[in-house]
Amino acid sequence: MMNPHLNRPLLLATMLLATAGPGTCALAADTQPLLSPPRAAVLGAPGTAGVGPVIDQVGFTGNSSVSVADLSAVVSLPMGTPLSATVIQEQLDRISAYYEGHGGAYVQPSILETALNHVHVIFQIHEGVTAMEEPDAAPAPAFLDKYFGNTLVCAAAQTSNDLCHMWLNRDGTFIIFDPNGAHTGHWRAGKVRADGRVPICRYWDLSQFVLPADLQSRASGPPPTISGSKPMTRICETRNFRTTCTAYPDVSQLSPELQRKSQLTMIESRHEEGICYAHGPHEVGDVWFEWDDPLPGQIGLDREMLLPGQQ
Amino acid sequence: MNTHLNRFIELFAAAALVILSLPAARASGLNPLASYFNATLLCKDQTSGVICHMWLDPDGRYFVYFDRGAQQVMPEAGGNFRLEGRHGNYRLSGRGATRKLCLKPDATPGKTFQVEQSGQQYAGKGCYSLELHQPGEHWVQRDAAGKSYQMWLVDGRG
Repeated sequence: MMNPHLNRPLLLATMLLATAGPGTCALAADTQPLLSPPRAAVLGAPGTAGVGPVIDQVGFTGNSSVSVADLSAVVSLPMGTPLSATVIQEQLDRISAYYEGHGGAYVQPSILETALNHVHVIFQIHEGVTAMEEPDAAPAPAFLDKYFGNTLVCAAAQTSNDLCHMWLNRDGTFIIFDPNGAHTGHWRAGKVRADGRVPICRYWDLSQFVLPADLQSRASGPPPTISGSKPMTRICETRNFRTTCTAYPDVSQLSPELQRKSQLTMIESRHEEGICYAHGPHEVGDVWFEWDDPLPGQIGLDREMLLPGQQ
Repeated sequence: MNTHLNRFIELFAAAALVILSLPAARASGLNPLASYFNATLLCKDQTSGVICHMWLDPDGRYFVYFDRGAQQVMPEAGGNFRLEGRHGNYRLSGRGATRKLCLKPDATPGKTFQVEQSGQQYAGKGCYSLELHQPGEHWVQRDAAGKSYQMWLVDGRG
């Protein structure tokens, strides 16, 4: 089943692909707002599992003062480029730099998986906006209704492996579970951002739960460190509905407050600081990549999917 | 000060403490699952390695989820998930140390739970053996089909 939102960029992309030579970047013009992103309707393409996502379509939205042709010349994404945060950041920097001479713009990517490991990147351009407005607490936007009563799965960006399931409840509570355990808590929404996403900060309930040692080997361990490198201490802090996690090499050099935070367990930190993720308007069945995760996984991105019911 | 009066006050206070604590003791004694309410019941299928985490609430609701271990890459939404969780209602039946925990999971239309299909303990509708334990205890039990599980009752929810 194809979604009408998907048809237009796909048609344009197909036309461009037909005229572009092998290895040429195919850029699809799309000025349609992404308030209702396309559903990933063609999942399960054979032979691509485990390879990791590649970019095979690029589009723009919100570019009224600059033409698609000009933006196409700025962006450098050969068809089949492996998706990664680094690749996306490079293009954001290029577009932002180009716009410096054209009144400035705030640029965010929307990364949709249109078939397994086939990705459509749409750069959302907010012309004249030079910085993201700091959000205040706000009522939950109507599009979050699609999340309530359903399951948000976070999965590894390259391998698609299932990493966590979250049930966001309308009453302001949530449950999230992963191989390390399950956590309940409450959530707060900020204002909807310029890119159409809303920051949701999740605050965990305190618990003295510790997974028995016999079961810990199966759960995910600490993040890998480079052999021979000094261990880093990661501290996450939340301000204005945005969580930033920073790795510090030497805690003794930090302020007393940061030293205190470095001693918190993950549960205590999530209770005190919370952790914020941006959520956009999606339909049940969508699969997409989140860009601005404070703790990104493979290739610096998170693969997410919205499943029906609580499962 | 009158020593007789002091003695009377001491005895009265002690008696009051005993009387006041009786209803609370009786209330906690009435619910054999009291030690489960701020704890997590963990199970590990000795054969498949599937792990469950279960929470029981005093109001008769429960939450359980399963970690099936590494699975093949999910080919699509609704595919082969490592994690599966569900809510539902429970009731305890039987007497003594070994009871039956009867579960009735909430309906999830369109979802087939792999753990239920493979007959995992606590995964579907039905009554399961439940030995009453205290947080910190670790034991082994078998289900009706003879399948062996390692069990833990751990303080806190997780």
